[in-house]
Amino acid sequence: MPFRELSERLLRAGVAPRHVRRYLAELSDHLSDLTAEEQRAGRTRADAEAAALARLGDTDRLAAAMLGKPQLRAWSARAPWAAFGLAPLCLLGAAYGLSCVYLWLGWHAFLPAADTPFGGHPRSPIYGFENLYFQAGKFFYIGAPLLVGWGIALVAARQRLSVAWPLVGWALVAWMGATARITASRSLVPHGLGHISMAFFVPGPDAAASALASAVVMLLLGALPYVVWTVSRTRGLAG
Amino acid sequence: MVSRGSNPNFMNGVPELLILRLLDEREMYGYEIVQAIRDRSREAIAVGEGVVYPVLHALESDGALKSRRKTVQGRSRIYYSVTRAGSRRLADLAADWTSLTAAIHTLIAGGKHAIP
Repeated sequence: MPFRELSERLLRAGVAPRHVRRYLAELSDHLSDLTAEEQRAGRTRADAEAAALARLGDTDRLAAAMLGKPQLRAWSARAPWAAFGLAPLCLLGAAYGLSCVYLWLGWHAFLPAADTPFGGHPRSPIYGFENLYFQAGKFFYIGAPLLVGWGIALVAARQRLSVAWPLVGWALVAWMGATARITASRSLVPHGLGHISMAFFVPGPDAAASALASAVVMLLLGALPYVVWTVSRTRGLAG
Repeated sequence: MVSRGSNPNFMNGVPELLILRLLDEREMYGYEIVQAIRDRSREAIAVGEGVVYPVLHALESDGALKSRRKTVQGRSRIYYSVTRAGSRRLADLAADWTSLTAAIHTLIAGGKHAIP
């Protein structure tokens, strides 16, 4: 592929991957058109390809043209604090919000007499679809920090980023996930509607050590795809 | 309006102006645009063939152009056309360049009050 070096250079400089993909596709099409034009003018295939590449421009010129357009840069390059600090925390907060709504709906549908959806209710244990419903919610709740962490890894790999800003994102997400606590009680509000609340960032009493351990595990699991990508890429370049 | 004060290089904005002018007539893809610029300017203006795409992407990102993928004779191409905002931008750029070239022409011709 004639534009591999150009692609790497643009991604590393922070150009959004969608613009890089489209640029390369358009350049490939343009190169085909130029080659056909040169062949129609009587050149051999090899000469036509060389002439077409020269007309298209060298890698330095093609890269400089793209890098001169700041509006084509990715958010991860324009505002890394937002892409790896704010956005992951907002995403995780939204995922936890969804979890709370899901829990509240299940609580009302399957455990209307229970003061809390976390056990200790008159009908425990529950089976069948009800059990499946709550287990799916629990799976999503536990998996949310990992999903966000893998999202950070994906963005970092696509953009060929160094580890610094993604690490900030993984650390924030891991700490938020490790310190997340959810409480529910029907008697806290009138009419038995039920009340669910969450707390983050400050670990519960005597839970600092376990929160720290959980955060480390979440951070490592979240960063794992990026580590795998980095290792395989290094091997690929070495090979 | 494109300000000359913030755009000291006279050639800045030329590819943008030419592209908007051509696309204001009909939608085109990159190769067509480059050929049209060369043909219409009788090869006096030769833009780097590959560097036309960042200009197109940037104009689209600014809302001056829109694009669509179209298959013609078995080949899928990205065609660009001007939006309403692009037409306004073209009018501003064209007015700016017309006054600039008139001023330069007067200056070259030896006028005493060429630039206000």
